Amino acid sequence: MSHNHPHHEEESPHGLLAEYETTEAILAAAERAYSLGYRKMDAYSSVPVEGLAEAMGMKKNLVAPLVFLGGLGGGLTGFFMQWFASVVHYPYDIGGRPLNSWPAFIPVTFELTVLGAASLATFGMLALNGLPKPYNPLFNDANFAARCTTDGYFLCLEADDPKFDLEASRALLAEFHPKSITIVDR
Amino acid sequence: MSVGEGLASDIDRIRNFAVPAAGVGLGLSALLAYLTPGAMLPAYLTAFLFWFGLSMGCLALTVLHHLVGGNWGQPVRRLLETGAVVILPMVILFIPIMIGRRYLYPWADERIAAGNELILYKRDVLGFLGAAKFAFRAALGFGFWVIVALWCYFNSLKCDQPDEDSPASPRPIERISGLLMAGVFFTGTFAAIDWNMTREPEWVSSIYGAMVLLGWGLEAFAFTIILSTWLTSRSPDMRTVATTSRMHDLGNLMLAFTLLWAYTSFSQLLIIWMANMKEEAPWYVRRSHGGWEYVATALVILHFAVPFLCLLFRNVKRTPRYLVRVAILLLAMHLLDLTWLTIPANAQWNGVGVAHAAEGHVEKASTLIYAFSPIDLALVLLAFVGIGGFWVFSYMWLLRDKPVVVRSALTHPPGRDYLPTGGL
Repeated sequence: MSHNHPHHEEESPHGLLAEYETTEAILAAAERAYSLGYRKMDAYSSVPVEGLAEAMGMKKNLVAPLVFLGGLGGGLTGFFMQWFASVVHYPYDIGGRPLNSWPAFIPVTFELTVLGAASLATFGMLALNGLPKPYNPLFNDANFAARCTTDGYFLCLEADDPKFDLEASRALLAEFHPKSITIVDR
Repeated sequence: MSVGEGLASDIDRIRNFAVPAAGVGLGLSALLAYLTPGAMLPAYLTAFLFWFGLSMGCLALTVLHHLVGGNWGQPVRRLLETGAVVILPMVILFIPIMIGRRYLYPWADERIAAGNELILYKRDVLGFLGAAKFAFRAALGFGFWVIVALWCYFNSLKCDQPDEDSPASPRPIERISGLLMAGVFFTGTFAAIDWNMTREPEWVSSIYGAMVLLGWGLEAFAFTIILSTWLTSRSPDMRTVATTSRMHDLGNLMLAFTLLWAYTSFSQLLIIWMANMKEEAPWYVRRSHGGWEYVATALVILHFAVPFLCLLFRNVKRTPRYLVRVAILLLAMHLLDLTWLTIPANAQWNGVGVAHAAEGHVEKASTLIYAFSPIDLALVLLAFVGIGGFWVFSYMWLLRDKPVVVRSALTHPPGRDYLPTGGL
């Protein structure tokens, strides 16, 4: 256990960071923390761990509805632009086809549906995740910085959580035999 | 690992139901084919394309899974392999199509072909159409499909042996699976073109083969989703392997194939509608008049819009009973789609063989409409039940004494789906 900045002892830390060696351990720890009422926590792993998001109580997020709205908006825009150009703004007889030749409008409508959906998927995901985020207190932890993208499974209980208590939280994390527990400063 | 007692008796019950269905359905179909070949045989072809297509889709997805791997295939691998092998007994049911070709294909009916320069050119000068070539290509196709299907099936059974030496997955197939995939696509495209597209030999569409083949792949996804869900409550192995996230994957793939089907179907319409040429347009004229416009509208709504919107929802894909309902809807609509593709071509026989046909009547007939009628739909359903009974019986006979889940799926724990493993 290390404490990086003893001068700021009175300031509350960012949280407690535990490193586990197996997916089973981090899953069990996350489940236990959630069942005890912890809500402000996050897990870090280099590979997706099946069930970890659910164990931390992450159920639905807004990305899917955003993608749907993006697709709907894109598609309607695409169709409207073509309909407006061909029917209202510059009606033109092409081979005797009706002005509102909707089959011909479908490819562009489809493309703009994809564009709208993909754009909102990307930017919506980034916004909901609070990204870009140049600074994260966890970067201060040398072990985390070295291993979170290779082979470590990290669980961080954040101090902002009303349930957070340095000693009790540490005991909770220690139940599942972590490799290390560190206090992370802000 | 083998099938439990309860499952075996359930499978027997289905087989006992399938035998009379096949007997009555095929018997009545044969009788009606004798009495009114011009009405019965196209309906028979429609149902044959549905059930053959299910086997073909199973074969294509088996080979695809050997090629790309992935956890979506773990619960359905044995179910797909079994479906592919059913192509072998389906050879018998192809014989009536070969014999009755005169009532199915204008190039085989001199009354139509004789007066049509384009058909004569394609048949006698280019030499693509014709009974001998039709039979030769069918034989080549069936030979290839049967060999690949049996190879995949027996290799997979061999890999089920729980001794240390046998590999968890059949390596040689994986190595040449790319070639097999190309072969399946090539021969499957020929089947679609030969057996259904040449019903309107003047018409051309380069996306037709892919469109039909993707529809068959969609059938295979829908069928295996239904069957694996049914097996979940009867086989502990299936319960282990068919996890929610894997059913979610299968639901996503069914969504992808629904989109591919819609994409290819619409592309064909768009290209033909834009060009508006007299060789191509009648195909759509026949399918958008005389009641067929309602069928087409139903297809747009129930084969595309409704399943598409349902399958967008995560909840639908993760709840077996919802997913199964969408799969059943897609299977039913695909039968309707094949009916819509097949039956309107009967219009070419309008007026043919009428005793006092006026001069020039036969030539004009190609633009006439063969109206949608519930009788044709009933004939399609009759053949569907008959061929379906035969197909289901063959399938269940193959599945009965075999493990419903391949061993490699059981040695690959579902909890570690996303972790890199040596197995896949």
